[in-house]
Amino acid sequence: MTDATYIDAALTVARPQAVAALLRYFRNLDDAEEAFQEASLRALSAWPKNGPPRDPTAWLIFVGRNAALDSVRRRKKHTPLPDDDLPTPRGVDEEAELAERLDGAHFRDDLLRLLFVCCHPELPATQQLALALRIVCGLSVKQIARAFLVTEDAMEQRITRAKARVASANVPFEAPGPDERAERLAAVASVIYLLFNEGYSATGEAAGVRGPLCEEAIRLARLLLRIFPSEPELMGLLALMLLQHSRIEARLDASGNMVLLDDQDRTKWNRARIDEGLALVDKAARHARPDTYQIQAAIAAVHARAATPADTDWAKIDALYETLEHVAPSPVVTLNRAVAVSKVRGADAALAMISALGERLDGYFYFHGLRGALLSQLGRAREAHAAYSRAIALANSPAEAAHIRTHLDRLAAEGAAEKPPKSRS
Amino acid sequence: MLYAMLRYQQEDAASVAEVSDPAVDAQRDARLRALHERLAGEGKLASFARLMPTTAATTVRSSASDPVVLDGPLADTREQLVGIYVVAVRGLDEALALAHELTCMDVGVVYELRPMFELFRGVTAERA
Repeated sequence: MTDATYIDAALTVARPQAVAALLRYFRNLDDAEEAFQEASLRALSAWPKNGPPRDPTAWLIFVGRNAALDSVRRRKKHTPLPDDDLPTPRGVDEEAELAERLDGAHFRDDLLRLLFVCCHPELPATQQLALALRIVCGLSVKQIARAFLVTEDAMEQRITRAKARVASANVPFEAPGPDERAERLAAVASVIYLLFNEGYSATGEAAGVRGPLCEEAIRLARLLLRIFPSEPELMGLLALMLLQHSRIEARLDASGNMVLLDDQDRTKWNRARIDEGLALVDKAARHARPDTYQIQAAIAAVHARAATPADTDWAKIDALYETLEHVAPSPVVTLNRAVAVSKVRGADAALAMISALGERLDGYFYFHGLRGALLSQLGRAREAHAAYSRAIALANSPAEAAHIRTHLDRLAAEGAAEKPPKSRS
Repeated sequence: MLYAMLRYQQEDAASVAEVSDPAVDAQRDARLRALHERLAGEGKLASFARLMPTTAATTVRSSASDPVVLDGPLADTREQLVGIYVVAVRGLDEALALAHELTCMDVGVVYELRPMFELFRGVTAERA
């Protein structure tokens, strides 16, 4: 690794913790960010000369804090101070002691506070994501603007508005109690998953620029799990993202269209991410406190373990969806369960299961798509045709419509092969 | 003589570097693979494995009653690393059962269970 890439990586890694500590100190996002910026600049000039410090995070917190205090002092006196006025940590011991004094028991809560401030429930989702990417992950406004397909100016405004809003939200700086900590964790976890999905759901050209969002979300989840090592919710969240992200190379075709799970080239699945995801699913299961992330991760794990679509343990997936229906009931969950049910107990049972959902999912592409598939399996071609047609009308993308079109074509071909179509007036 | 060479690094720095420059990373991987092949050819490399991040670790500590299971890596530094088992199991439950059995034989023993990706299997111990 070269000096430049090492420093770059070290700054990226240190950033969340350093900005979090500076935020506790200054109680203001702008000041904390500016202090970190200043410290980073000094690192770029100091580290290649003196070698990297043993604890880069402590160094950045210390230097950032002093630089900011210094600039406040400067502004007050209106007289410039020489640069070498700034004390920097001299030895390893001083640095270590410093880290202890700055962080101490606050380490965990600092970081959670920073994340919570950026993921504040009062902010709209778009602002939460922009703020987290800018402040915590350290992405440039340009990078974020590109990922969200808006201009740099618009993104700059969005971030400024978000900062103003959290400043007025008055997040308390005292150490949170256990309930409050759990609430903050849940809020942060949901924004991390939202961030992941921004990257994961991108197709076509957007997939290239949004892909890194998945990596950032995974990095944040790892960071959180490291400081809250016994939270099964975080294990499940990280596992879920790793297992989904393991398919990234297989889930889009050359033109950026979605490839269905059954049709994916499983040799392109990333083994390292799958194995880590499976290990985390195991860890979470030990706590016997299932939540939606853990159950969804467990479902993704069943798919990940299957070498071919035919090897999929559908009975297990059915059971997991049943649990999910209890934990977080929703018609979409039942719809997904019906896919597993059709494999285990047949299309009849699955059709019966979703028949009651029609009212609530009538405007949902996947509902009619699945209904069409089940009816077609049962040989009810005319009803299948109607369901597929409804699905095409509701398709969210040309790729979805094209996919249903192939079913319709097959249906027509089968109909033609089995019995000549009767002429109808 | 057998030597264990234990590799230490800031794990998140390693992953950031991988993401930020895949080309450099691929180059390093190729150089590493060549080194492994050379050492294996010379009959010197028993095996090399990359461990998963510490967030995937579980720790089992012996105690007077039942062994205590904790999430995460071994945080204490009172103990020194004195041995390594590499076991092939179906999942964490089986690994935990094994660790229980082992911790029950001694007092003051800790096992950190860390899943790993085996990257290279070289010569066997007998040959070394």
